[in-house]
Amino acid sequence: MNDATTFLLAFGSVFAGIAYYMVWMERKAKALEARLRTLAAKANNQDAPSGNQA
Amino acid sequence: MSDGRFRALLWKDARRELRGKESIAAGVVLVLLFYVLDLFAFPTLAGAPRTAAAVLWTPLLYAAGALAGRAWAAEADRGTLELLRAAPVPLLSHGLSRWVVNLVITLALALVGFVAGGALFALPVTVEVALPLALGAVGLSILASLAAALAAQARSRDVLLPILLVPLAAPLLQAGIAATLSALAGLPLSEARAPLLVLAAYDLVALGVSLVLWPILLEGE
Amino acid sequence: MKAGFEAKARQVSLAAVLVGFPVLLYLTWFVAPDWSYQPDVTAPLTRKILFFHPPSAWASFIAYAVVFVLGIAYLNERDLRHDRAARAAAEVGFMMNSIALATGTLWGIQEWAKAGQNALATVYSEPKVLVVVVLWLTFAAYLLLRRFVDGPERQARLAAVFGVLGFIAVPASFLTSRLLTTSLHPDIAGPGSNPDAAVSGDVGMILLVGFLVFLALFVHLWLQRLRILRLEDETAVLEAQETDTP
Repeated sequence: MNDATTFLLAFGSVFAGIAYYMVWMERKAKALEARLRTLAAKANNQDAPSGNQA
Repeated sequence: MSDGRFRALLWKDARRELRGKESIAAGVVLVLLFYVLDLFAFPTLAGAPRTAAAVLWTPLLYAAGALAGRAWAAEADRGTLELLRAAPVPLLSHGLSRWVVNLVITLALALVGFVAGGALFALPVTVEVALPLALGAVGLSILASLAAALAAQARSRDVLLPILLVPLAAPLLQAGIAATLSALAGLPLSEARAPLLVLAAYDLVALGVSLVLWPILLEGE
Repeated sequence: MKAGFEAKARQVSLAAVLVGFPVLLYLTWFVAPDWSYQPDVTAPLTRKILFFHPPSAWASFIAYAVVFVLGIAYLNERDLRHDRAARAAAEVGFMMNSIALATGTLWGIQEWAKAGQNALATVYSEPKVLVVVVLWLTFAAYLLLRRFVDGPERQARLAAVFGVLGFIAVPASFLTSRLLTTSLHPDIAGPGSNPDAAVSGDVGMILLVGFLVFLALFVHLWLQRLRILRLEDETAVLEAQETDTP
């Protein structure tokens, strides 16, 4: 493996790895927040059943 | 802990090991198995000090871990840990008592390995070779006892124990092997002062930390 | 930590990362000395890893210190929030450590390779590299221990205990390798450092920038991971409630 290949491999893997991890975490956090909102809304509906069900 | 309770606890732990003799017997066989395996590979270790250092240290690490693991696993399986938490004995005494028993066994195994190395591979039977092994055995017994008490409270403890033990024991092994290499090169103890000091210092630090950690490790939920 | 402050810190550190990395790359390319004109440098391009390799290693040391401090805090206060923060720091530190190990391996192969000797063996028999390997194993053991232990309190307690033990083992391993051996790896800072390898001028300045950028990266990733772990816990609580109610 020559100098340039090593260099590209090292820099490429570091930056690709960090960028991938950051994007993955942001997406996961967003997905979890959305799921949490859905669950919270559902829980609220069950806690206080509205009158129009009757 | 100057009262008789620690002595009673120590006596209980020691008696259990002695009655079965299983730990010591299993440990000796384990160490000798490593040496037999080594005999298949090397008819002599003359002129191969690096290999000799590995031959001396590998069984010690393995046996210290396996024996400490067995002792704590037995406690966890039989539920005696719960009983001990209920007993009017400080948890620290319990940990220390197990460690002292484990220390004696590990030192005995280090001696077996040391003698077997001299007998089978004509390694020098000198203080220079013995001292690092003894200091290493002290530290390994402390760390193996702690790691075993950790692993005993987890799933797949047999797999987990070496994973926990090896990083913790890394400085001991590094310094111990350096001191052994110096001894095998025929140098006097004064030449190995730095690694021996590291070994002794790490033993002391590990012992001090274990005093703090035992009560936390053994407490119930 | 207040949630509002935490979110702010996460955004500020993200901004620092997004600005810092391009600056670091610029400095690495255009300001750092061009080593290709020096005949004794075997791998001038690879040497530019200098600006990423030590910072990532230092960031992982800091991560481990955070794990240690939070472990002690957990043992003192028995607050599971400390444990969650420790876990997040360990996961991010493990990633930083992997970066240090990977870049160091590649660099070591390139600079130290000798004819007739396996390049990987040359790198991994190097005491400095062994310290990073020990830290890597310690992180791995810490994270595995957490997976193998049931119950949040027990997991937190055992992880904190192992964190304390590991925090003693890693510096001891570092000191041992400095005291005991001659090595190919230069000591660029601290006691016993090699004057030939001492960094100065531009190189030192870029290295400092690199360190600050990696510090910001660690803080951002840590807080982000912490946020995910908290959201996961909250979701789990609500999901359990949902299955309880018919």
